[in-house]
Amino acid sequence: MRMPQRGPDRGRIAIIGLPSLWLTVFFLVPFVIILRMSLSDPASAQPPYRPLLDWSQGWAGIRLFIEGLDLENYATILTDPLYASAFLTSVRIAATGTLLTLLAGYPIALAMARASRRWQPFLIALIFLPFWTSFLIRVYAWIAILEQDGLLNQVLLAAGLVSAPLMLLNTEIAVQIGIVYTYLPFMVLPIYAALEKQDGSLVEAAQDLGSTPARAFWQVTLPLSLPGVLGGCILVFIPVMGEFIIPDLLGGSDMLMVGRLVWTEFFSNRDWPMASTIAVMLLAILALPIVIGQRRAGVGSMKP
Amino acid sequence: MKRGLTRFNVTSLVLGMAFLYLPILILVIYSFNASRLVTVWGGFSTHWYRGLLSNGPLMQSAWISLQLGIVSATLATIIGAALALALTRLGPFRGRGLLAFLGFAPLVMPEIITGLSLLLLFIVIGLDRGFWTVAIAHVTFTSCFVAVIVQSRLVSFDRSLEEAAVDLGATPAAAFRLVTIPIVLPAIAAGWMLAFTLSLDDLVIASFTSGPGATTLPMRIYSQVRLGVTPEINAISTLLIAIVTVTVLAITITLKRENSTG
Amino acid sequence: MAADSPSASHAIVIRGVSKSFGAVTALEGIDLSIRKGEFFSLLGPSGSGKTTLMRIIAGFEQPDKGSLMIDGEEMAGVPPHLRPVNMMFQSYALFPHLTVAGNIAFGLRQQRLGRPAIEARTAEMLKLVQLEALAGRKPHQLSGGQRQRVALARALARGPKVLLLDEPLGALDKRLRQETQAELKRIQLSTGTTFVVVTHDQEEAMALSDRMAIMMDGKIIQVDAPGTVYDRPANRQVAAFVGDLNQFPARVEAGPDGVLLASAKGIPGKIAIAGSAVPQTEECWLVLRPEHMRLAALADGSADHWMACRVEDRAHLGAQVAYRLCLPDGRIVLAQAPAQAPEASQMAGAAILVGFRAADARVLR
Repeated sequence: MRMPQRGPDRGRIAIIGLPSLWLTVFFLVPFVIILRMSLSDPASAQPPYRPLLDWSQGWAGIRLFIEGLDLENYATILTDPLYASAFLTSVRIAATGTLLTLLAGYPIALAMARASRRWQPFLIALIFLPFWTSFLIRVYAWIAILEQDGLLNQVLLAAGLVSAPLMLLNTEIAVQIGIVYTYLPFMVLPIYAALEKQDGSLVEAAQDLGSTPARAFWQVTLPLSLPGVLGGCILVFIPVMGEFIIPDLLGGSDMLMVGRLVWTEFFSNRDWPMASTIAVMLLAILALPIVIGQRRAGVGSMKP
Repeated sequence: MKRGLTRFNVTSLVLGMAFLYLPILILVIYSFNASRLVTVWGGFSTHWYRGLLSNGPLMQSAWISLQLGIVSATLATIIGAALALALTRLGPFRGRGLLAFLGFAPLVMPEIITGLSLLLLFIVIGLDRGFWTVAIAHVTFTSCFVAVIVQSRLVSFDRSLEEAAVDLGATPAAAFRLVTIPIVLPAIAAGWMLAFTLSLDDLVIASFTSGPGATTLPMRIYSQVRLGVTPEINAISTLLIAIVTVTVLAITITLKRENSTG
Repeated sequence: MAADSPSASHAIVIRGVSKSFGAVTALEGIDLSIRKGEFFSLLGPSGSGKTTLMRIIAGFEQPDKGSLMIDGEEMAGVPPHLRPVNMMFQSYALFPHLTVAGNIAFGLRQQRLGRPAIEARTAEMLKLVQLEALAGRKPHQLSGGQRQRVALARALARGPKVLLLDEPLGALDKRLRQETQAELKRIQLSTGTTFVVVTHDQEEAMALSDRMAIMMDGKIIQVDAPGTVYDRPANRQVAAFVGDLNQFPARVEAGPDGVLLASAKGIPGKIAIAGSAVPQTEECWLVLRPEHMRLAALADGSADHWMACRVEDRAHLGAQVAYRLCLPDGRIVLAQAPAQAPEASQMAGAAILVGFRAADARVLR
């Protein structure tokens, strides 16, 4: 039920109005600007894009402005192999990274869900503590480990497992390690949440009906945890698609992912329209997972 | 879920935790390395920490990040709490669906797009980039995280508490002040701390929206990291990890108290 | 009820109240008067509208039609915080951030009484519910029974004209329920407050109430003292809701000397009924309570009508033994006999006679 009156109307207007206004001005409007920028052309001028809207010419100015907009950038992205391969690389790396994170995260989530009730809050805190630590620092920490003369190579050489140091940093392996490392909590928590609320007697019932423990897992536990798996995969896939720091610090200079491409187009090439177009294309690819994500509101589980 | 750990479960937990914590532990240990070589242990030293204090630009960036965190977390808490209230307590209103979407989308929007779109906005409206543009950008995305935390508290608390207050003679406004606010307060505090750490962490959005004189700590660290691993960065990173760990413990304790009284 | 006039002797007078939520009708044409100082129950299955009616009295819902008077004053447009009623919530709704004393004092603070007056009244209430020792505790440090008493003290602190109790014993275990029932009665008598209890538990309503209203499908079916509802239920549904019941499809015809004769399926002979409001032409039911059934090996004078049957099952309830009996046509009859009675020793499968007195039989729609 609703309270008959919730304070004065002014309060109601302020409570709705403040976030509405803020998010409209600083989230919705910027998005419209990106859309408009993606239809423009770069120019060696200040500001570095055309057309500009000239209000002083009235309607004629608006007409000129609209005629100046085109879909050229989108055509370029779809035809130029550089851009197409950046998108394909991003999708491939994000999909592989999501799968690896799932493989690493599921056993952890399963173990957490099976731990005693008293231990569970502690384990959740332990899984989430690194998430709060600076992303940049966590990625940086891997550089010293993966370097040519880094700690991992020192250990491998000392153990006699390799005869010469492995080339790890600036490879896709390093990028995947970085992805699994930084996004593991996002995968573990939704799966844990799905497993934790499962009725323990279901597995016992399956075993009572003749399933081996392994079959009970495949036929009961796993299928019932699939919503959590889907939630975790969405929470990992979306940000990895736009990832900038991991490929920049751990990947080689030839590893072109979409996030890095936006950065380069904007800061190095000063091609604002192309940077915007890439951003819009990225969003278009992510639209479906984002909508599924909101439906499931899996982000609610990001509480510490 | 059935309780009791198999050997496989224990192994997964141990390996998982080792994977999560070893890199950070190594970083912390090597921040006390006397040697400048980051991968060779040269004895214990706090040399690099003392060096930080005399690193003027780094200290200045740390100061900017601190101010930025406090300012943006405070604004984000106000806006995020209002957003949570609007979506849970005010019933249906025109545009509620749109507001719910606007409150959710920044959570999943790739940072690079948020940063780029805000930068373009600041250029179009002719706002000079600096401290306040980064603050606006941080408020925009962190307020949605605050909203998530406050909202989950508002949704889970028994509506009959507010009714009981009104039934006992409190006006709706007094019921809100005397019952709703005190019960939601721990979530609001946790939201503030989350917004603060998110602001302190952010590199990508700050890089887009910052201007001269407003180089945040992550931006400063990033520019040095690109040149390679140095003990100074290990030292400043260790300090940041310590700050965040303390903050997170504070949040956890706050929320625990909230849960036990809620 | 129409005879009741909204006078000084009534705490609550409801006239023609209806309420819908969208397409769902929650209440339809409710008329009800509750006397001052009465322990009154609204009894009905879930979805019967009893909670909605209570929330209308508290002011949390507005009726679509009809009027509500509390203590002689019209309540239309009066918000909940200005009504002279207080409520004990089903969840208790104790404020988790306040102590026991803080919870009890909450309503008093809203009245802007002075600090000494608030403290005195709080102490009085703590004494009433015997929680003086726990005044400084927070709700999460209390047991279920203690929470219930805090909720009661908090609701009574302002001295309401009417106390509304939403399933007051619902969250307590069985043993605690009986103690608490007595406690509620004691407090109701000592404060003289009108208590209105909403419950779906007929035993609770019967044990507590001076009078009760049976609600079904948004309507009030019957308002009477518990004994009257049990012995003279308004219809078969009410009869079955307030206790176990044996039911036989029947027809009624006029007999000699103004006596009505009922013929029921499965029962030999015609049963002389003392009085019935059911028209003779209509389909109706002959109903009998299990405790009115007699068991015997041979027909004797303890009953007017006997039927042969077989013992299907028996359950020892302590002082009583409950039987499930099977009539030749397959109909099941419930019966109870004192555990000491000789016929109580019948085993499952035994053939026996079951009978009843015509005076105990009722004909209902």
